[in-house]
Amino acid sequence: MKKIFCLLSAALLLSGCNFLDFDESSSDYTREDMYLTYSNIQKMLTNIYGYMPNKDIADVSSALRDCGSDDAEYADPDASVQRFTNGNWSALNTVDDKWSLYNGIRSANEFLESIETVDLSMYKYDNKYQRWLEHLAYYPYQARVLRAYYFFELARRYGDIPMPLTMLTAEEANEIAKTPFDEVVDFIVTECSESAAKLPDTYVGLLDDEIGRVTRGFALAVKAKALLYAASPLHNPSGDKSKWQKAVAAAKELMDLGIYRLDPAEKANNYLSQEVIFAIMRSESQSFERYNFPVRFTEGQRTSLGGSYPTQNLVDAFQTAGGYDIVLEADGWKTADPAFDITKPYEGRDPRFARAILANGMSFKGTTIETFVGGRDYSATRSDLGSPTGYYLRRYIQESTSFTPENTVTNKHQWIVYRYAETLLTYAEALNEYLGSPTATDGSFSISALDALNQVRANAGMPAVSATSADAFREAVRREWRVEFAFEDHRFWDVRRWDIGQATQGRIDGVEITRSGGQFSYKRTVVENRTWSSRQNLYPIPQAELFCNPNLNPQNPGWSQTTETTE
Amino acid sequence: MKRLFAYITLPLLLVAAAASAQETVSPLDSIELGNLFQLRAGGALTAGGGLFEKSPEVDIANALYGQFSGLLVKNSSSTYDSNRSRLKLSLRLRGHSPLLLVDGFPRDLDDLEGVEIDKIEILKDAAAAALYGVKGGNGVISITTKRGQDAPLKVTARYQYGLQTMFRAPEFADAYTYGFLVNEARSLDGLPAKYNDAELLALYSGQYPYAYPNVNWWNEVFRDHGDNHQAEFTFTGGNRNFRYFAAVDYLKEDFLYKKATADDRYNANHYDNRLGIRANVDVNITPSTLMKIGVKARLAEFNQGYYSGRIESTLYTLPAAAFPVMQADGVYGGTSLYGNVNPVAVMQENGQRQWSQTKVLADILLRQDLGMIVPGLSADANVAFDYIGLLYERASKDWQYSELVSTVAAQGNQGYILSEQKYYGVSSKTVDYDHYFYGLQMKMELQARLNWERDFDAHHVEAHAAYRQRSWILSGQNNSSKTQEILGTVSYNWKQRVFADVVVNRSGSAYMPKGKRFHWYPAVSLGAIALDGEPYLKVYGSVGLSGSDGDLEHELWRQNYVSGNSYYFGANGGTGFSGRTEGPMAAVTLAPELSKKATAGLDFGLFGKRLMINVEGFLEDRRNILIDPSNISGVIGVDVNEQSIGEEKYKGFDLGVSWNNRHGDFEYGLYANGGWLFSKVVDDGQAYQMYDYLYHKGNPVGQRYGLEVIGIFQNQVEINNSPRQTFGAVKPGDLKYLDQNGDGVIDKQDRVKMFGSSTPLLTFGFGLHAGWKGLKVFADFQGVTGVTIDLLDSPLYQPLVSNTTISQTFLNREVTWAPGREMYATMPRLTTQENPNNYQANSLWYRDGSFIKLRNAGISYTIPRSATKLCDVTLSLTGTNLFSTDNIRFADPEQLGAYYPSLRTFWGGVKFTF
Repeated sequence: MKKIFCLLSAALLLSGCNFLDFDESSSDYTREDMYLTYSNIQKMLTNIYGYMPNKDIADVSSALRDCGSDDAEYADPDASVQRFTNGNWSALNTVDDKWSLYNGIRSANEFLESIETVDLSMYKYDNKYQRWLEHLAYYPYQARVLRAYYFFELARRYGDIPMPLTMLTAEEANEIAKTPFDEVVDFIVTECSESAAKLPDTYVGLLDDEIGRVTRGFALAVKAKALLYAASPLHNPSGDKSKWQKAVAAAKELMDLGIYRLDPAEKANNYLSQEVIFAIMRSESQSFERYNFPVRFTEGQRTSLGGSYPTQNLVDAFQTAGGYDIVLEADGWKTADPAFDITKPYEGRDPRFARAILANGMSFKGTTIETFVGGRDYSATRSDLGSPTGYYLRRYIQESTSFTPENTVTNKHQWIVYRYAETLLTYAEALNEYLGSPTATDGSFSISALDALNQVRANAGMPAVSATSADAFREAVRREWRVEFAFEDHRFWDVRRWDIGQATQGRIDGVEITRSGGQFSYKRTVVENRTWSSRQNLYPIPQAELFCNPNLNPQNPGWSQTTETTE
Repeated sequence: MKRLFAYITLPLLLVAAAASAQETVSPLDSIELGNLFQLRAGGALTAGGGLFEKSPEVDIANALYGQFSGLLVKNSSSTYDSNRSRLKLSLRLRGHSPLLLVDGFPRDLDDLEGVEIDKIEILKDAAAAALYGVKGGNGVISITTKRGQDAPLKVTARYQYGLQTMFRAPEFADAYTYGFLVNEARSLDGLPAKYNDAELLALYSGQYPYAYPNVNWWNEVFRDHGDNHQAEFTFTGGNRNFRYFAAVDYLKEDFLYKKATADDRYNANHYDNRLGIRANVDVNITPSTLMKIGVKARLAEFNQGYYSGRIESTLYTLPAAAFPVMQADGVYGGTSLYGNVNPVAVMQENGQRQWSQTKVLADILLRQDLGMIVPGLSADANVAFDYIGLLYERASKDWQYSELVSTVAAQGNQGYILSEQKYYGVSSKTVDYDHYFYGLQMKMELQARLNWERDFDAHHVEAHAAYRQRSWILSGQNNSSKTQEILGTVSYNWKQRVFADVVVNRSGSAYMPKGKRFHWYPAVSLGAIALDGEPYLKVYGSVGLSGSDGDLEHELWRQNYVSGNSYYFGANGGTGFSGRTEGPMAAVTLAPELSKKATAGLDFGLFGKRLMINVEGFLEDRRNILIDPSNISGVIGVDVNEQSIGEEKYKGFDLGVSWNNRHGDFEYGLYANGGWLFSKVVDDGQAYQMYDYLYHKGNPVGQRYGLEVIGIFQNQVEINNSPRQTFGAVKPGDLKYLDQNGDGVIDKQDRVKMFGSSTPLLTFGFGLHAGWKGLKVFADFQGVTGVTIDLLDSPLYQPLVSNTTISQTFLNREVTWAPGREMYATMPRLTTQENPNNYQANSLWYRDGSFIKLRNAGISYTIPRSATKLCDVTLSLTGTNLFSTDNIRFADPEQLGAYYPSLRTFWGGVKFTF
């Protein structure tokens, strides 16, 4: 009988030790595991790219960010993008806060720490080993430029930002202080300059043709962009010319690279254009068209309010082909251009108009767009799922996309982050401010601001401008930014860095077109009255973050929540 | 291997030991499997299997409504595995989901038929919870199945039919009412009318049944009743050394849905079909060796059309005027706006999904008396192996649908119609077949015990030491759970008058990292029969610790590097590259939930225990609740796993009163019970809040929060002069909220605590039964109060929003705001938009969810064997869910959502007892 006791207790002990060991994880990689093979290292870097803003084209929950500017209106009146313009934006009610970029920044910090000690020499007999090493030589610089770009994206939203360069612990995250905007820009400049020296000009023909990775050109572009913002009135209220000088020098560095040139073709969804310096490539998708096609082409697939619609405000920025201004007033179109036929207001315009906007009478998918009252693309109200402004979006739309049941067509999109025209306009804007004249040149900058601007206009098929004063040129170059980069995520930011919200963001208009006989008559109509306050030049830091980390105080100007003291 | 060794060798050794033992000892047929550890000191509520005979519902949890104080039976949010239409019932014991044991092993109530059940015990005290260690913290319900007796064969046969009818079904508006109101709603939204006058007339007259149809979708899908057939046989008997109980049952349920006859290549009818067998065998292998075997097997088939989701969610939203069932040419109706949701087509033309579920629950116990070694010593071991597998076969196809795009223009007194027929999709010529393995559960449990039990004069002493291990293997990654326990109990009683139990359990959970798995769970209970006569009084109490790992997940304690963002590189617009990233940071604090319980109660009897009163109070402090840490800045750039840092407190008391009496052939009884539950959030991880009233701390668990409605905006001037409401556009007719913090803005900061909790404060039951010779009647009521429900859970209360319909049910009860009837308005204006201003948690939508329901009432008559010369024949008539008195009235207060209708069922049965 004693045997039984022995065996019994033995049985208990036997099964006791490891019975609870349980492991069904499929992803139980440790940090060390991630840096043992090339393929995992590549995945760690890919993940950092994945934090690129605008990666899904319509970045603010299906809306273009420009719907928060006077260029566009989003159809859904309750969408979060409306907070930019309806006064409901606050530190508690944030929109587009992009705090998730800190996840990308942490990933980059982690990557840069780990890549230092990578040793793949155990694979040296692998026939891909040499190629891996070539790739790996570029990897840290790609991560550094991405991290710099993410800091830029945060800094243009918030101004001063926490700028972690290591993997923070919970305690550190709750204590980190803000780095001033100018110091963030300095860091971006240093990082991009160092990286540009190491990165290749292009990945075409190199390694595995992995187009889309960060190049030398993009490193210089991020630097130029950050310096342009630092020189702009919002961050340079005293008009310090040395800041403008740095911006123009950075643009020139990119121009001197000599590998990019203006392209007369459309750049949207055209990542192979010689003009494109960085584009985000995406998989085949219909969602952009589902929301932005005139609704009759969506075959009922658009079932809820959505879509970004160009405003009359933007349309007014497009000149006539002859280079004259044209605006719509309550009683019709007004222009001084003698050659312009105001009964056909959408013909004979700046050729870039038709690339950005779909207007009445334009041809689309084999038919004609009809936005006149009673026309097939007219919507009396937003809930008819058509345009509230009388215009439809054209840029980034893949026209061949089709929703016809049993015959659907889906396309890839490529979202342009930076293209060469921006370099020229940065050069033009900054040089005009630096030298105080559009025609002036000096020893370092032999191309005048005016020449740089007119290169862009000539490429677009527009006559040259001949502004002589710095003020007049400033207006011209600002218009050029707006029309050249319509719906490429510029206007929203430019309004802020120029601090022109008060003058421009109060009201958006649309067009009402009526047809009688064969004639159309045009009338400017109010679409929406909007609220603007100068506090909107910077975003409010999310209130929850201030609660977690009091060192993020002070809140950006004008955004403090009125707090009752609660003892 | 080691585990396998334990499973196999332990029973074998005991068999061997039994064979070698020759001494004669007392028979061992009295062991109950339900709760092997009989603690006597604490209080437990017990009921016999007769409970389940009174409630013939398929889900036997229905029989528990209102029967035990402190036990709440409620609808859960998930449906049954084998019956994917109906909401499953779930149990809450003092606010938590209890551990349910069937013959000592954790199982589902749904695994059983009522006829198998011998006894059910509700164990609420701290010592009973500690017995089950890290699984016992939520309280324990123990069910014992019937065993055979040392008696001649006894056979029963029973057949029962149930006629199911809808309880408070919604009624939807007809096409004209819908059209008229959708125009009103659009007008209030500032939109043009959807239908012109001529079109409204067409909706009214039915002149154009294809362009302007009027379909009662509810009646197209449902018939007026469902049928339920159940048949069962039981066999029981045995001799001194071999006893058996066996039951066979068959069930067929035809649901309320209409028959699907459109395509004879598959069967899309909605029915449930199942066969169950229970066999329990007890064998005295030797005079000192007892073996008990229990096996339950069930094969279930559940058939439905091949569609995912619930057809009801369409029925609650599809307007009568949306499209016809079929167009004139026999193609199913549908539109580009609504898509191919036509419920008739979905039921008839989509194909078939045939679920098949197999359950086998098996357990074996072997007990060896070892009195020949040490007097009073015995050992037992029991092993359970349960298997539940679910798979389905599908036959599926697509169908074509068609829309008649029309307008009616007025022309004098006559309208004329312009229409264009559009077709979408194609009808599949062939049916596509496939089958899927859907889910698997394997439960294995082993328990081995040493028992010692002696009487010393008036003192009875009992001690047990046990080892228990349990693994629940569920299909899918990281779904399985394992625990391991060592426990000891010591019990003492003096003359069956004074009781004391001590339990110590050390149990570990596989959710925890090595080295932190095991925790101690000790408990003590004491009891005494203070007065054992007239009156009778027993007082008892308990205090102890128990745990719960039910909310834990695997791997919370470690950081993995996991799938991350993908990105596109390369030529031709790029190809997707996958990414990897740092996963959530490991939880720093992680532990199973810890329950500190204290209970105290008394049983009081008067008039020879004809009147019995039971009162029990309890306190519970619950710690280590898993919550999301919300106090770490996002600048950290990585998620942080949930942490075991939450805390809640519970207290309350249960009361039960019963009176049972008999005068000659007439016997009757009355009972009433109630359980009061008060809870309090101590810490739920809520971050810093700007206003004190925003904190959940100190409020009940499940407390409702919302905006305080102070009226309806009557005009734009009033809107302009009021604090700005920031949830969405506001128009006259929308709800006006109170600015709680006076900052001139209505936002999330103005949400305050309001009404009660989603958990009832009081759960109660009462009822009566009476019998005279063969005639019996009974009625059982149950209710809850102190519970707040949200009308927005009902689709009926968001009419017309996003192209949905409106119900007559809603219109009969409410007046919506509109110019001209402002003063009668009980609801904000109709709207076709999402309207986040109105449709969010606020004081208008919260309602008192109290109810009293007549859960079952019945009458039966038994013709005695002496009259039939063959057997007892019992005829019975029962009704379940007969009526409810509550504040909701338009729907079952327990089920506001778009689910299979709540049922009121009438049952007729006949039973032969041979």
